[in-house]
Amino acid sequence: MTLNEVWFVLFVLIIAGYLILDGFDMGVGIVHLFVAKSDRERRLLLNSIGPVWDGNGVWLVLGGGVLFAAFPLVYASLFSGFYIAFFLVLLVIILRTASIEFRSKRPNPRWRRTWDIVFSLSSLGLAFMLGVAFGNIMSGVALDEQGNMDESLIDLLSPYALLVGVTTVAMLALHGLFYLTMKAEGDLENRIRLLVPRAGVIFFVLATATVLVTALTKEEIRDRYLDDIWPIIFPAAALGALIYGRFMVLAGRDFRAFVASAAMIALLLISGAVGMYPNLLISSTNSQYNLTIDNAASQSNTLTVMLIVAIIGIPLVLLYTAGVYYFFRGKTVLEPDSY
Amino acid sequence: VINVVLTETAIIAGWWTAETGRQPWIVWQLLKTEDAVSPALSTAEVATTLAIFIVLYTLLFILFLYLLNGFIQRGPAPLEELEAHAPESVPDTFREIFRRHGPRASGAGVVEQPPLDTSEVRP
Repeated sequence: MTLNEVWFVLFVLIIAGYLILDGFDMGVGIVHLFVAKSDRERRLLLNSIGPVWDGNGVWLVLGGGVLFAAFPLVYASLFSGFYIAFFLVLLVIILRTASIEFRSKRPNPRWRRTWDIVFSLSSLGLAFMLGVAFGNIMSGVALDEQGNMDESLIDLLSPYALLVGVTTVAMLALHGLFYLTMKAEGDLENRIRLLVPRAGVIFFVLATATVLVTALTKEEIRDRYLDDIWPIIFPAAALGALIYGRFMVLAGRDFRAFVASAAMIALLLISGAVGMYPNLLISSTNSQYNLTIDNAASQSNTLTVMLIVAIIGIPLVLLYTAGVYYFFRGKTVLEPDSY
Repeated sequence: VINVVLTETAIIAGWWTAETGRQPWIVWQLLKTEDAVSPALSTAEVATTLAIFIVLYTLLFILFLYLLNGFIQRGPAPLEELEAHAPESVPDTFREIFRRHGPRASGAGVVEQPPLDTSEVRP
């Protein structure tokens, strides 16, 4: 395995970590208005993600940092080409943060309802835009010889990208519901348990549609799977994880169900990444302009130094992250200094 | 109160010095700022997004001041209330901290937010 391959794998795993961790708190936000009816229930939902949501978001920053350092040409093309789209992403991230922090700081019901709506819509918008971004990366973008992208905001909203966006929303809503089965109690928990199978069916239908459309219309990705058939185990395992999660949540084994959902998200992302490999950004104008893990990477000394830092740093991050989740394990309890 | 503004000014002034002092280079002696501009973007796009960020941050800053003022006007909770929620002792070890925060370890159940839900102090 070359250094470039190692960094490709690490980058995919970091994005998977982001989708799994920030994914469940986005999911909680997506279902916030439907699931929690009273002020107390809404506070419970907010506080179930309270200790961890902002740490989770930093995985996206880490992903951006790794892209910048390991594959700077992709970073340059992507962040310039998706400028307006990324601006909108930042806008909803800022609003989402403000809504979580501001919501419970005033007793006024209108104040709280306003921020509840902002929280839910910004979570939905973030999940949707991430999905649209993945859809565009999977379909390829109009890259020229210099790696400059010619895509307006409307170009990015192709039917395929919209489908991936909606699927992502359904996936993270389901993931958030799985998380909440561990955190909520009583009547609220019962209502969440009823929603899980329904959200599961919706997601399953959308995900199947996305896979079929990808297989039928995205030639580069299809050929990659046809050339080398073994990676088919990734989407197959994702399906297995979804089915396993469904049975575990019905059996009341909520932690296992949540882990299954997390594994499914990682496996779906890996399935997409395998289909792209060795491309990082496919050019829809000319396949010679594709940015790959070889032509878009930093020099090998840079990658080596980064690898040393990652080998020291990532275990530490995983250790304290696990510590925080262990610390706040079990059902959510409202305390005087809660959100 | 003025010191709050002064510390912020010092931080931003340091940043300002570093960024303007480096011009015309964006990467010292390697890449000029004018050569590093993204060709895929128009000035209008950058200006619009910058303006929206400025408006949004100003709004959030005003809301922040409004909330902060509310907390200052209300003042800290009465001493008896703070003592009622105080832990019996300060934990010394990680083991103790983790045990104390385990599921239902406190047995306290749901504690409502007393100062916020009962009294609103208008600034």
